[in-house]
Amino acid sequence: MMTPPDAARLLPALAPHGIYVAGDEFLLVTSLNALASVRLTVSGRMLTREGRLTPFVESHIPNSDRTAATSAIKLGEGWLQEITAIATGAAPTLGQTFVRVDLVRGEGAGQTVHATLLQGTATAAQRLAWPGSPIDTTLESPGALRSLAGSDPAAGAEIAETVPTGARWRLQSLRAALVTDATAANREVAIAFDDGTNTYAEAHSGVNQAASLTRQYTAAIAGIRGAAATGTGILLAIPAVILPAGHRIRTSTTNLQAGDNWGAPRLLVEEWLEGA
Amino acid sequence: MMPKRCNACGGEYEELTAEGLLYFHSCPPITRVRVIRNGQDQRVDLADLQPSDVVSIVREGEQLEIAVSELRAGDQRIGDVTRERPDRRDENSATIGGEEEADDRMPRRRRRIKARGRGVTDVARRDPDAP
Repeated sequence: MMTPPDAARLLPALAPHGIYVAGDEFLLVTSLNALASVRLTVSGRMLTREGRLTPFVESHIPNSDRTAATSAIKLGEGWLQEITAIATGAAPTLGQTFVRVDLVRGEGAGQTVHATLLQGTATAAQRLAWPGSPIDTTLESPGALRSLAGSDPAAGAEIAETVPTGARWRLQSLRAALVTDATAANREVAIAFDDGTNTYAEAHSGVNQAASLTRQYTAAIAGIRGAAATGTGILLAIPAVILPAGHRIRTSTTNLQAGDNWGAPRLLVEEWLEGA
Repeated sequence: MMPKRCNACGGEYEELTAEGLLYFHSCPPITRVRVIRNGQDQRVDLADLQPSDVVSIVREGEQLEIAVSELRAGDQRIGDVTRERPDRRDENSATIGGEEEADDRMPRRRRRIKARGRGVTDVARRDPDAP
């Protein structure tokens, strides 16, 4: 227990913002992360009762599926002077790795958070600091831009990509090829957005694709609907909807035949972390 | 890391994207076609559609019921619906419930996913120069 004489003796070394940490309190590091191989390095200094400045450096390993990972940093009794956090091991872009550092006491259901000291997006180049950094939410940094390949469906199946748990997406563009079989029928492609069950937006190509043809479809925000001059590329406009986790982006093909084959889609999405 | 094939839907995918993020597959729904088969109005999976099945179509603005074998290029089949695939796989992390599965890509090597479905099979990587 820190006594008034202790405090008076340590005053010259104490940072003006320093906070007293009791022996049973500790730092709880919580992360949300989407990139593989990321580590977070959390470091800082404690001023002990004996007047010694003691640095600490701890490594925190986030999950890479956007679910929360936590770890504790035991500090002992003294005055917390400062904390910094930075991403190491990989180079997340803004919006891919999020960290919060709380001062807490206790475990499990009895745990009490006394202060949130750090909260924001960490990268390998931009450090979060207490004091100094604002307490941000995951949605305050720009969305991370991702170019990803989706699943290549079997013949007769539509494309369907699900927004991952803990993410929020805005589809910027999607490109995929449809190869039609020899069955006589005009196919018309639409891009549909649903909540996992119910469709809430659908954008149609307005162009027919007959039997035994290959067509490249590009869906983009602010795209202009119509066929390309080559006759093989078809552009369709999609709404700039924001999709929470579990919602889907999928094709909906009128007159789809069992032998029609969609190729793997390539998506450009803007992604925010929401965590789970 | 080998590409995977989903044993439920046959979709193929890479588990790790080029940018270093994990990819979580989930099966697309099945297209179900409204048909009259053996005199009964029913819905069948697209893959099970038979030439003798009678389907509802729109031809030149008129709704008709014709056999699949008599479809023409301009016909529009109507009455299709989608439904979730039995034993569908959804690799996205479960926040409630779900099923535990080993995942070597994760720091803790295990993860609860929404649905294991019928599992996955490793497949050979395709040669991009192959014809």
